[in-house]
Amino acid sequence: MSPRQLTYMDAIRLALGDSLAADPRVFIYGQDIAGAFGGAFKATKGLAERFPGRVLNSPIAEDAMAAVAIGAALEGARPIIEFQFADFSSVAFNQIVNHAATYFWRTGRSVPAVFRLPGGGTPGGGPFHSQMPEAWLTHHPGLVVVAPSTVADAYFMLRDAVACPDPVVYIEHKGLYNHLKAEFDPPTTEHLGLGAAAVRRSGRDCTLISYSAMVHTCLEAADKLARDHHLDVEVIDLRCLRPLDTRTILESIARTSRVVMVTESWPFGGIAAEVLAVIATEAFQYLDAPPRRMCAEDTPIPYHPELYHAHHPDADRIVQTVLETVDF
Amino acid sequence: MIDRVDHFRWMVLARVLDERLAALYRQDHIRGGSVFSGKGQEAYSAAAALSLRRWTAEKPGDYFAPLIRDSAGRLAFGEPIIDAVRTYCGKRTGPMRCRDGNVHRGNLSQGQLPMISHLGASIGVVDGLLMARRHLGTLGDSVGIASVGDGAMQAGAAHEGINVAAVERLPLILLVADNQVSYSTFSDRSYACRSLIDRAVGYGLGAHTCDGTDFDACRITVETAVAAARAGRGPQMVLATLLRLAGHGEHDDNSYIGPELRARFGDCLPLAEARLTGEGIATAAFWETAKQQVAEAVTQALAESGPDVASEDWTARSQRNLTEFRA
Amino acid sequence: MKLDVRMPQFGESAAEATIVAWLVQPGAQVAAEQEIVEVQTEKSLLTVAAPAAGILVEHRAGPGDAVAVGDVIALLNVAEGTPAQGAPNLTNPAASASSSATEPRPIRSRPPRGEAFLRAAMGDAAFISPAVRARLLEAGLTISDLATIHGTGAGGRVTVNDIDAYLAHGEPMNGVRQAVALAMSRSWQRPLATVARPARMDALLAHRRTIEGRPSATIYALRALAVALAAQPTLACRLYGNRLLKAQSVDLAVAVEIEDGVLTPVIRGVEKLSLAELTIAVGQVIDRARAGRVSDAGSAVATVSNYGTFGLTWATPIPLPGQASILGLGSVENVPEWDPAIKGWGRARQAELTLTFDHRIADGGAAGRLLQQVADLLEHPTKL
Repeated sequence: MSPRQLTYMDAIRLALGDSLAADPRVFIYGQDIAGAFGGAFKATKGLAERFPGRVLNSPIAEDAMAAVAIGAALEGARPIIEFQFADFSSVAFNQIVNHAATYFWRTGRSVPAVFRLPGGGTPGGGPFHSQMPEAWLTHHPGLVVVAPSTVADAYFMLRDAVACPDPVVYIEHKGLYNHLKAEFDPPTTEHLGLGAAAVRRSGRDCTLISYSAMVHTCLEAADKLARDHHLDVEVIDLRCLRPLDTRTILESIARTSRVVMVTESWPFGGIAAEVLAVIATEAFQYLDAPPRRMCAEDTPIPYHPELYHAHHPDADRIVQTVLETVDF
Repeated sequence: MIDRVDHFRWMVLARVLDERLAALYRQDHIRGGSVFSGKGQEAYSAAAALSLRRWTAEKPGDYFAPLIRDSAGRLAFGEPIIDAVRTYCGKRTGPMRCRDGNVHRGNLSQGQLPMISHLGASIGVVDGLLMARRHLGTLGDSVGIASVGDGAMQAGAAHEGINVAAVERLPLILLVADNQVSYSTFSDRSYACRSLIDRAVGYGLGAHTCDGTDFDACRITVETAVAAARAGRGPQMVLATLLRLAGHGEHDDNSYIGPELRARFGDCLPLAEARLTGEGIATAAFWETAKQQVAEAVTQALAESGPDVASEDWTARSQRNLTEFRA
Repeated sequence: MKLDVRMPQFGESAAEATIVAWLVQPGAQVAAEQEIVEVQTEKSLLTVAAPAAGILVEHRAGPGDAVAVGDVIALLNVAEGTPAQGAPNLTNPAASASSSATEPRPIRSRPPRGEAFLRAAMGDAAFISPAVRARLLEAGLTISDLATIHGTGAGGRVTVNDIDAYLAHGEPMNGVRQAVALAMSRSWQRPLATVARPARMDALLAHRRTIEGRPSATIYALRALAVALAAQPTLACRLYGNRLLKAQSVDLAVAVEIEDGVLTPVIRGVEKLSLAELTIAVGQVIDRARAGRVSDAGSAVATVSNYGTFGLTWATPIPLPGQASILGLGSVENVPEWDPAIKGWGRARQAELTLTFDHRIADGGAAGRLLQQVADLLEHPTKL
C-alpha cells in the first residue's frame, strides 16, 4: 500500500474509525456528531453509518457528557467525548478535574476516557471559539493532556489515548484540520509514545519549544533564522503536556544554553511558565541567556482577523525574540 | 418485596452508627472534616438500597450513588459498618485508604459510588454506567439510583444529568429527599416551583412521591419506582418529603431550624417502631444487636493504623510510565 | 473594469472548497449578491454571491476543482469605481509557512513585555551567566581567565560559545602535564611564603666521598630536612580545614624531572635512614616512578627540589597540595671567604637554600629556624 495524503482531520477521523473497529467497547458521544452531519468539523462523518449505535448525539450538556464518559469508563467501556469546541469544555471542567482526574488516586480505579477538544485559534473565531484550555487542565494531577501537531501524531496519539487506562484530554488544533497535509500510512509509520516530546529540528544555537499548531510557526521561524541569520535553531514539539517530557527539554538546553518557549495561549501560569520553571531550576548551570517565552496577548482572543494575528505570536516575532536571546 | 422488619433493622443500625460516629467526633477520633448524619432519612434511604440488587462475587448488581445523608442506604446496600468507621477515623484499611474521608467513601466492586463534594455530579456518572452496560450488552434489567436532595437538585450538573437519562431512557431512579434545608438555606430560597416532583413532567420522568417519615410508604413507593425502571419504562423520579434531624454536620448545632418546622415532621424511626410494636413485633433486640455490631466495628477500627506517610505512593495516574522525569 | 471574485472563508477551519456547479455562465449579466456558483466545503454545500453587479467574464475554476480560500474563482466586468471585494484575505497562521506569496508581516515596534529592565541590568561585559560559570569550572579556568577570552555577547560579555571557541585553540596537554597543572593551580590557592639563606657546601662535598654510593647534594638535603623536621615538627604536619595532623614519620618527596613534567616519588621514614641507605632508597623510588610515570606524593609532608642542577641559584618552587613546605637547593657557587689565618680572601663553596611553606601552618620564624638547622646540618655533615 503506498502512502496516502491525509489531512490532520483525516487522521483524526481515521483514528476514530480504527478505534471503533478495533475495540467494541469504544463509543463516541458528543454534540452533532451522529447522522449525516458528522460533527461541526466532520471528524465523525460516516462513522455513525459504519458503526450503528456507537456514535451518539448528546444534548448541549458538557457536564453530563463528561460524567457519562466517567461512568461508562468505570463500567468497562472506552468512551470518546467530542466537545464541539475546546472552549466549551470549561462547562465540564468540574467533571474532568474533580471526578475523572481524582478517581485513580481516591479509589485505585482509573477512568479510561478520552476527551477530544477542538482548540486553538482560527481567524474570526473570536473569544469563545479559539481557546487553548491546556493551562487549567494540566494543573490538575491525574490527567494525561496531549496536543498533537502532526498528521501522524493526530492519528497515533488518538489511538494511544483510547488505549490509555487514564483519562486523556486530547487537544486537536482547528487551524491544522484542513490546512495540514502529509503522506501518512499508519501501519508503517513509527511513532513515539504518549509521554514523549519530539525534536522536530536539531540545532545548537537556541531551542524553540512549542506544541500543537505553534510548532509549525516555530519551524517556519527556524527556517528564516537559518536562511537570514545563519543560526541553527532546535525545535522541540512537546506533544504531551501532562506528563511533560522534561528529559528531552533539559537535554536540549544542555546543547543550546538558550531557550524561547512559544505558545498561542496566555502567558500567566501557562505551559510556558511551567517549562521555563523546570529549565530554570533543573538546567540553571546550562543557561547562557535568560529563558524567554512568547505567548498570546493577555486579553481575550479578538474576533477580527487583523487583531487576531496581532494577538498571537508569529514567525517574524519569534525570529526577533530568538535573535535577542542569541545576541544576549 | 422488601421485608419490612428487615427494613426497620437497617434503619436502626444506621441511627446507631450515626450516633456513635457523632460521639467519636466529640471524642476527637475523627480526622478532619465532620460527621454527616442521615438522621431522619433512614427510612427513605434504606428503602432505596433494599430495592436494589446487591453485588456478589459472581455477578454485578445495580448501582447506588449515595449522597451525604445515605448512611442507611450505604449499609443496606452492603457497606460493612467498619468501612464507615475506618473512613471517618482515617485508617489505611478503609476503602479510601486515608486519601478521602467521611461521606466520600465508596466501593465500586459493591456498586457503591464514592461521591465528590460537587452536588449533582454523580447523576451523569450513573447515566454513563448504565449507558455502558447497554452498549456492552450487560444492562439486562439492572438499574441505578442517584441520590440527591433539595440542594443538589438546583445544581446545573443535576439538570444535565437528569436530562441525559431522560433522552437516553435509562433505568435511572432519581432519589430526591427534600429535607427542607440545604445546609442552612430553606427550600424557599432553593426553588420556586410548587413541588420538586413537578420537574419530573418537565424532564419526562416517571413521578413518585411519598412521606419520607413513613417507612412503609417509602418502601412501597421506591420499590414501585425501581420496578418501573427495571421494566424499561425509563427513568423515574421519587420525591420524599421529610426533615433533616441533625445539623449539616456535627459541627453545626442546627439551631436555625425552628420549632414550627420541627413540629411539622416526625422522626421515621420512632414512627416505624410504634407501628411494629403495635403489631406485636418486639424491637428492643434490634437496638441491642445494632449497638453491639457498631461497638465491635469501632473497637476494631480504632486499633488499626492510620496512613503510612513515608510509603505513600504519590502517583495520580495509573500509568507509572506517564510521569515527569526529575533530574 | 475587472473585479476578482475570490473563494470565501466558509467556516473557521476551512482551507479550500470545491467547485460543484456554476450557476452563471460567462457573458451573462449578474446582479450584486446573486448566487453565481455552488461550492462544497468539508462541512457543507454553499453558494458564493457576486460582489457587485456586472457581466461575468470568465470562470477561473471548473466543477471538481478544489480552490484555496482567497484564490480567484471568476472575473466580473463592472462599472468604473466599483469597490473591490471587501473581505480581507484571511490566511491561516498554521498555513502561512506554505503561503510564501504573502508579504511578511512587519514586526511590531513596541517593546517586548517584561524583560526590558532585566536586559539593561545584565547587558555588560561583567555579567557571567550560569552556563559560563559552570563551563569555567568544567574547563579548570578561573574568572580571571575571562579577561583573555574575546566576548561576543551583549556589551562584550563572554558567552558559553566564546569559551568553547577559546578552548578549541591549540592541542590538549598530555596527562602528566595536566596533572601537574592541576596540582600547581590547586596549591597556588593558599598563602605561600619563602625564607632563604646560603649554606657553605665545602664540608659536604668532602664528606660525600667518604660515603658508599657518593650521595648527591639532594640526598644530603633530604636527610638534613628529615632530621630538622623530626626536631622541629611544626611543619611536619598536614592541614585539614582548621585542624592539624602531626605526621607519624617524616616521609619526603623528591622532585624528578622527566621529559614532559615532574614526578615526585616519596621515601618513607627518611629520619630513620642513613645517608647510604637513603642513597639506595632514592635510586629505587626514582627508577620506579620513571618506569610507571607515577607521582605518589600522598603521604609526604615536604618535597626537596634540587633546582641547582639546572644552574639556578635561587627559585621559589611551589609545595604540592597537602604538603606543608618544599626545600629548594641552588647551584653550588664559588664565593670569596675571608680567611683570618692568612688574613686574605680564600675560596669557599656555597649554595642558596630556599624553603617555601604554607603560611597557615607556620610563621616566618618557625620556617627560618627550620631552614637554619637544615643549613647547619649541611655545613656539618658528620651530624647526619
